Amino acid sequence: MIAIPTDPSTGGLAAQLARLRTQVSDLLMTLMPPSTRTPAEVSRLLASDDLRDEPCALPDGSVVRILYLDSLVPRKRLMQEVLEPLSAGSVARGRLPAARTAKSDRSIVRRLLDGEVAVVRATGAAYTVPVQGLAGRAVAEPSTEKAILGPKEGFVERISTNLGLVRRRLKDPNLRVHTYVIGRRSRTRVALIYVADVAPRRLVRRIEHGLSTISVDFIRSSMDIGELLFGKSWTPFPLSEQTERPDRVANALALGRIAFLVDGTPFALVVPVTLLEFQKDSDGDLQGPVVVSFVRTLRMLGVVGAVTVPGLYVALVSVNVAVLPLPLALALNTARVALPYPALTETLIILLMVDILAEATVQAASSVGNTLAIVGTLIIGQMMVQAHLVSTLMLTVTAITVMGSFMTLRFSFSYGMRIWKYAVVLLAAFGGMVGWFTGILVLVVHLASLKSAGVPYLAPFGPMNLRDLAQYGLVQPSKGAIKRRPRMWSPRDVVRSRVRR
Amino acid sequence: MIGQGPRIRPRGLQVLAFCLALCVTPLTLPGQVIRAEDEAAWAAGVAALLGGALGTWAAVRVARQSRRGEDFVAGSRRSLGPLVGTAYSWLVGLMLAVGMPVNLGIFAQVATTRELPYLPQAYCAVMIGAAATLACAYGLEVVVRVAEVLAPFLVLGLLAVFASAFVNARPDAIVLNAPPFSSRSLLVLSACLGMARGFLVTLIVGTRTYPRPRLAGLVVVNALAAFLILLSVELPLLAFSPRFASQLQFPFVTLSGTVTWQWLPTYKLEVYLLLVWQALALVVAAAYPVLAAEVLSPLSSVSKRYLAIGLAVAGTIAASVWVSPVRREHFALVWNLAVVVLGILVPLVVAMHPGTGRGVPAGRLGRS
Repeated sequence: MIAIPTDPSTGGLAAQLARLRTQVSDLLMTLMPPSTRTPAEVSRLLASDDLRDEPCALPDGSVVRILYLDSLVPRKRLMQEVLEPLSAGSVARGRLPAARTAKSDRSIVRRLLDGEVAVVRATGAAYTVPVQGLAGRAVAEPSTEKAILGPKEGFVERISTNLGLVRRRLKDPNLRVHTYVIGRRSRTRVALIYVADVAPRRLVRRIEHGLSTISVDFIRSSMDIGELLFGKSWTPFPLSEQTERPDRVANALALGRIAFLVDGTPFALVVPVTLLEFQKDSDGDLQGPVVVSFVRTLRMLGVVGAVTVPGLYVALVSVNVAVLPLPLALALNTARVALPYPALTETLIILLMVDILAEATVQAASSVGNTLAIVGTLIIGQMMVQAHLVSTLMLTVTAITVMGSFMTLRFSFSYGMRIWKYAVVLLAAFGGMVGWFTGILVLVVHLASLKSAGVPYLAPFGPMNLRDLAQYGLVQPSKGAIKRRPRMWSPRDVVRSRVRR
Repeated sequence: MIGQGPRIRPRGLQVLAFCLALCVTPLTLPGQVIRAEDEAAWAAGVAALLGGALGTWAAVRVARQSRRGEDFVAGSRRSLGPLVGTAYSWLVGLMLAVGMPVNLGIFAQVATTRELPYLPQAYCAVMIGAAATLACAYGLEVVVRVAEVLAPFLVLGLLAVFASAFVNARPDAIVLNAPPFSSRSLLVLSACLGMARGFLVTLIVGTRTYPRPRLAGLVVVNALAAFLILLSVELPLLAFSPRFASQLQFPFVTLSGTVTWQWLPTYKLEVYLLLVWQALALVVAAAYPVLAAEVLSPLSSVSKRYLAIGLAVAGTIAASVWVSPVRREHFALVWNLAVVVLGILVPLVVAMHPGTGRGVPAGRLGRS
């Protein structure tokens, strides 16, 4: 007989109903045929050496079987969260509050793979208990996005922690989190996050439909989700934003954008994104308008310089010397007089070397990376000049290019600029100033053809939106002056601030 | 893929129209250099205004009478009748198709002969033409977006034209290597200016028949803008100096050839102004084939995309090979003849057509 407790101290009506549901479920489980929930069947389905099947005697004399994967469940946690509560009393589910009934062997296997512990009674009734699994990385400062004034918390590999970091910054009941399990083999948890009354509904629906129809065996990172949803474009520029910073994600969500968190990845994916977003740092909103505008403009100039300066050097030195004043033209050519090859060869050699060095430094361990940087600097900066393989002027051009390439705050975006500069250099060698500018124009055409989740990549420059440009462009007005969300994201609720002056 | 649908806003179309309207002035006339120093100049100015008005009026009428979701050809047929409408569409389409090689060839020729003498004309034309072909392959939406992004160059170009006119008005200004005068009919040329804007502006509105609840207002704004540009560019051109009119080959020739600033790292201003002109040349060179494809595609069995690419490639070849100083005048002559036909005959035909005035009422535009 099932007794419903009436003591008010045991909880409210909801708790009583939950308890009643649990007892009914237990009762049903005992009535089910036990053949489908035997530990042997689970062992057959999950034939792996790290599967543990251990008997556990309870104080009432009954014996239950404990199933778990010791690669996912630490022994200490197992003792604390499962075995000790069990041995202290009966196997009533009230002792293990987080227990969930398992209705089949396959569901037991699936939960074991998620790091849960299965408890199978002699009657065949089984339930699983989530335990705190392997200790993950603690929340720390983001390694790829430093902030001077901003918060120092960054995402970690555990999706639940990351969700908490976002929720802590956006305590909005309209913040929606929908979780999907994607990947037939990886069974990766993917969380779709948006603010229901701000994010464009049509885009959310399309993304939800896209996520529910993804059929792939393995998901490695958040970028995989981006490619599966939005397609892979033949462009070196990223069409979604990856960020390690929860404050940046929360800000994006508040503006009407959509974020994804993927279990096992410390990077959130944010869509849509525009070219301008890659130039905004995390400290941007925390400083005054003048400082922010200055820094953003500086950063944009650096990025433009990274693409254009090497090509301009080739065009002016090798093709269109006549457009320079005589003293400058003489100075440029005097610096190159000892070089055995034309400006194009010189430029390509030095740019390739710098890119090789940058890639090696990034991929290597930090200690080796420092060594590489020193060796590379010595070789490029001193030896090649002394050997008359490059000119000192070319070194200046290279320095501008490298600094500009890495002034952008997203590493993935810098690849686009680094690749494109080669095309500009080749066109400059071919057609001088006209060729150089053609390379830039082709870049504009290419960027104009890109879209991120339906939003043009060059917004708010193209399509031109003066209000967005004034409020969210390079020049950052004060907080009180920003009254509306950017139109380029198509937010449902456009009003952002109701400050009256 | 998610969210990849076309997105063209009327404001973007207006920017493209402005680009075309301004660029038509310096880019299409070099073979037709004029001597604007007597009463004929003012007569030509008035004729240009009149031609522009007629052309704009004809195109506005076509756009107004087309229904939502209808292309330009269908709108022309609805407005002008099946025979005249089809002929009008062919005429507009072919004229637009000729626009690219004329403009691109002129830019390449002037850039290589005046500013960059060591660069072959074909190289220059092929480079810009390839960029324009790429834009055409992406479609009208991308061309519009490129025009919006490069709109600041438009402003710079306009300022440079004005500055060049003022500098040229100085009696002590000596222009080196000024191109020779020729003696084409001023009337035809000025009509060309106004006409090209009139139908282009409305063509863009008419061909992309997106939901357009404010079409009537948009058309009026565009028509007014066309006239304002006409006034702002042509009147100073006629008033300031006869020499300025002779330098339309490179509209900034006076400025670039005479003004130097010591703090600039280049010898003269010419490189900067050449880049401004190049940006505008790309917009124009990409806009003409893609607009021609919009018009001609319903008349042929070729899709808009492939037609635009084909026209752009053909235009690039023509600009790099065929457009020589002699042949360029032939191009310009064809262009001008088409403009005259469009500017004078078609408005007359439209005015005399029994269907005139029976279109969709202005208040219900865009709701059919």
